[in-house]
Amino acid sequence: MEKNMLEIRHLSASFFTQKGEVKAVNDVCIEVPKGKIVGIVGESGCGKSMTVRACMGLLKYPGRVVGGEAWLDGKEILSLPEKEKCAIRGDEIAMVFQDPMTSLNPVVRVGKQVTEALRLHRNMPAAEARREAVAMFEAVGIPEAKKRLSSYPHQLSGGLRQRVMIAMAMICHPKVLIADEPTTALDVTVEAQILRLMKKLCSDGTSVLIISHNLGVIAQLCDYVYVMYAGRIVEQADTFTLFEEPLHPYTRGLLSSVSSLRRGGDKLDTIPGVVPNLLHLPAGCSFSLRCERCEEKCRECLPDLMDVGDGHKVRCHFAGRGEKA
Amino acid sequence: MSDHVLLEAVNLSKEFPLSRGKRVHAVSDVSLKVYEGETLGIVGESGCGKSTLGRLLIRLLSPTGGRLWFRGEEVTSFSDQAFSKYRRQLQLIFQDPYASLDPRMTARDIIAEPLNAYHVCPTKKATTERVLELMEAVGVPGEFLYRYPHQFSGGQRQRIGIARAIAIDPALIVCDEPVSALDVSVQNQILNLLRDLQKERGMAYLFISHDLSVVRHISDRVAVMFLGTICEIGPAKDIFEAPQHPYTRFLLDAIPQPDPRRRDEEVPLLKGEIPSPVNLPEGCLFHTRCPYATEKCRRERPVLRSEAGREVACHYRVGATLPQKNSAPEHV
Ligand SMILES: Nc1ncnc2c1ncn2[C@@H]1O[C@H](COP(=O)(O)OP(=O)(O)O)[C@@H](O)[C@H]1O
Ligand SMILES: Nc1ncnc2c1ncn2[C@@H]1O[C@H](COP(=O)(O)OP(=O)(O)O)[C@@H](O)[C@H]1O
Ligand SMILES: [Mg+2]
Ligand SMILES: [Mg+2]
Repeated sequence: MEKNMLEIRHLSASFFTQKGEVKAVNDVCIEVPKGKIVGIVGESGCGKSMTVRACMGLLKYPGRVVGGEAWLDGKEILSLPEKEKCAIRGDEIAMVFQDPMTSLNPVVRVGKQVTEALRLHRNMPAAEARREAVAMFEAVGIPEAKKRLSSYPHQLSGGLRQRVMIAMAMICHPKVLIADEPTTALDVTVEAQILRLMKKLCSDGTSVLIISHNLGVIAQLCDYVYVMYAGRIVEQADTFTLFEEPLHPYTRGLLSSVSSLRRGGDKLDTIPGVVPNLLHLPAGCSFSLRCERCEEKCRECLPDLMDVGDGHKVRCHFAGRGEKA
Repeated sequence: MSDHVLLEAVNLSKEFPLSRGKRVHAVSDVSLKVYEGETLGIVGESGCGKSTLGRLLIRLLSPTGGRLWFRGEEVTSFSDQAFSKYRRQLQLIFQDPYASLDPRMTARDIIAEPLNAYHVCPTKKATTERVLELMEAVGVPGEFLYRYPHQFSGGQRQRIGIARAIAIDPALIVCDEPVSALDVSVQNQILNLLRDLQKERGMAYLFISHDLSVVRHISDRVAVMFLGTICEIGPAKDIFEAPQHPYTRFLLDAIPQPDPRRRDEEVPLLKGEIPSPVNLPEGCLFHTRCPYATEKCRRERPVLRSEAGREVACHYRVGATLPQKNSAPEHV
């Protein structure tokens, strides 16, 4: 077993709104082993982004971590004072977002933005930082790297901006790279280029935690996958097991939605109903309202995340019996 | 689907003026037919002109070039007044129903709007009854009659947009990325609904999407767009199983497949990015990204040529000669 570069333990985070507590992240545990790509998949609003934001210390008011730990290469980071968190962010752990425009400064040349981390964390002299930046731009496939350093973000295409974001995240060679929907805003031919780049980064030894709602992206990239639903992990397994022997009815519903679309035919598979309101989660299993197999006990009691062998875990009362719906 | 042509465009173009005499060539020389009752899918990457084309075809935008026929009558230079007899036949649904539904109106009033505009129902009561029928047809519970858009989920809002679009039995609905903002399970619910409604009511769809799987599922015929032009148009099955334009082939191969067993397939990726629609390349618009481009492609712009029911704008129809990856197995 590789050691875990990132370990999220029983993380819970909520938004304290006027209407009450929105439990966006509920007792989430995630492990990212060294040199692996781990994915979080789930529909919008299920808490994927808040999980990683909480773990980076980037939750905004009225959001707050209410419990749990995050261990980065053997060091707990949630309890660190803000100053030390800042020192780690962008250095030992870095993040790439869906929309580069929200995280790039529009009035600063991208070269300066990329070298800033080196100057801040490494105290590197300007000339040397510039050389590093050119090398990193080349590594992430930005053509005419030297010239590009003096571009402003708006002068770059969406694909190039995302490459700049990745270069910025990778410049200090972080132990863990977190990518939140890094290709969702991109066209499919550009997405394919970025996915290939992420694969390459990982083969160079970086540990990656990637969030996506796209099962295609997850299947192509990840070694191990966590499925989230309404703030909780409902299933986790290595990618092959998850796609070929999914046990949770929600995972199966997601997969059959996608595969029926690819198969064609008259009626597409769907999951009935909508995601529950995180303000008023059902007492039992959060999926019970939409689940065909729902029984009395599903409505009443929350199933544990049960280990069914080989690192495959499922939060369903029926999972242990090896039944298939 | 029938042989009756509902709508025909010939060399339709739209340029948007920019400062200093520059122009965006949003749609260039597009010729196509839409048949009664069919679904014509339009695919292509963002900025390739899909939405502009959709709006040109139902005259929400006026073209800067080309001609347009509706049921055999040329309407290119019709005034809005003259066109109004066709107006109600042509409806539009959007990607983001939230942006297109007035937040201060109830579901009832939103759906009743076209009914009132065309004086379909004699009384207020009859209108409400008609609205309830429409809500039932699109699967929104009648008890939500007086709810506001923000009280609905994304999928339900899209259903309300659909109810409004079908309210006056249009002949064509332009669906502009109608499921792109929805999660996959909800997206499938809406696709099923659109299909069922078409079976019952027989209207045609112009279905615009950047998602090839969605377009493949819903369309009878498909047009692939690149930089404001159509590079390939034909029956959906043919386009997806045996693409002939190299761009279609690259587009299909780029889709990340939801099957981990297929992750090691190394496919050739398109290099670079889409050229600017302000400065169009000489020759074939695709030649700057096409690995098979020759001198001829750099000089001479290919036009759509018809061959065995398929029209392709490529001098060589290169796509047909390449090994296949994503296009073959599924969808029989
Ligand atoms: N500022 C906020 N106030 C209240 N709830 C919020 C706020 N921001 C996010 N949430 C809630 O947190 C949940 C999880 O959001 P997020 O992690 O962004 O979902 P995902 O990334 O999976 O789409 C959402 O359902 C949303 O309702
Ligand atoms: N009103 C407008 N003014 C200027 N340019 C426009 C306008 N509408 C669209 N465009 C440009 O026309 C091109 C095609 O846009 P659009 O039809 O929206 O593409 P798509 O729907 O395929 O993403 C783009 O380059 C876009 O920026
Ligand atoms: Mg998110
Ligand atoms: Mg559009």
